Amino acid sequence: MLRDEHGMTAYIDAMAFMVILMLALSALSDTYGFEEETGPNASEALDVISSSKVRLSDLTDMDDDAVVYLTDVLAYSVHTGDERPISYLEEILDKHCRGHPYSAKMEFGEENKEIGSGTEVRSGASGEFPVSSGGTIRITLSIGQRCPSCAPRSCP
Amino acid sequence: MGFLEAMLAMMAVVLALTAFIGAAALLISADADTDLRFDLDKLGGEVVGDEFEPSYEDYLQEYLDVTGRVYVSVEAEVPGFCAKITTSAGKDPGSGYTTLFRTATVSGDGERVLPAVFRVIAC
Repeated sequence: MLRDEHGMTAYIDAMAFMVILMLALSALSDTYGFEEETGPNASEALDVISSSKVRLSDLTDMDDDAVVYLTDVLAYSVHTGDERPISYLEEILDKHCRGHPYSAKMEFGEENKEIGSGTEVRSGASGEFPVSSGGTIRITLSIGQRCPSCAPRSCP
Repeated sequence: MGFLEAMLAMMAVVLALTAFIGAAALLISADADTDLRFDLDKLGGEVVGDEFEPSYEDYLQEYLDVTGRVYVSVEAEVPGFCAKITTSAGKDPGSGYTTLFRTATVSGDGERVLPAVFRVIAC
């Protein structure tokens, strides 16, 4: 009996130590270890896109200097197939995403247009915006993880 | 008595482990201090013609004075409208940089509101 008590005590001691050690190590790694790079945020890009305003003549063949929301011009592009607004959007997203793969889908009524490459989503955002000519355009933006061999630029 | 001894031993282990974990955490946090404390809301400006005129030039020197850093540089680009411009303050030491990015809107000619991408480098 005496031996059993000593053995049980040692066993409980060892178990308690292991539990505490596991908790401490998991808390430490959760706080300081293996943090993901702070990459481009899809919500930030979508907010900027939805609040941007350009002249119609900037991105279309229309000889009209009226200032409209970029989302209006994108809706026009989805409807007519005019590629200039889409190219402008790609340029913005290329700069924002800095090497991270992305995909952007625009839905205007029955029509839709998708740019970028399909990717596993690291950051995603979606919004529906009114179009001045009527209806709404839904834009869904997904940004993926940069490939491991593409090191982020951290110095000039 | 055996159980009490085990409890005492466990308490001693817990105290030693807590002290070790705390020391390790302090060391890691000291090395991982990459918070630039740069107010990204200060990044702005205006597109005039085909040039971007930043509004944060005075803030860059102020930032160095407040934080004690030696160098800060901001690259700004307005896709489709302006070429990239770089504004900096301080002396570039050549290494030890930390980088932040921000995408925001800036005002342009004729009530335009244009997307701009900023890259802040400091050390």
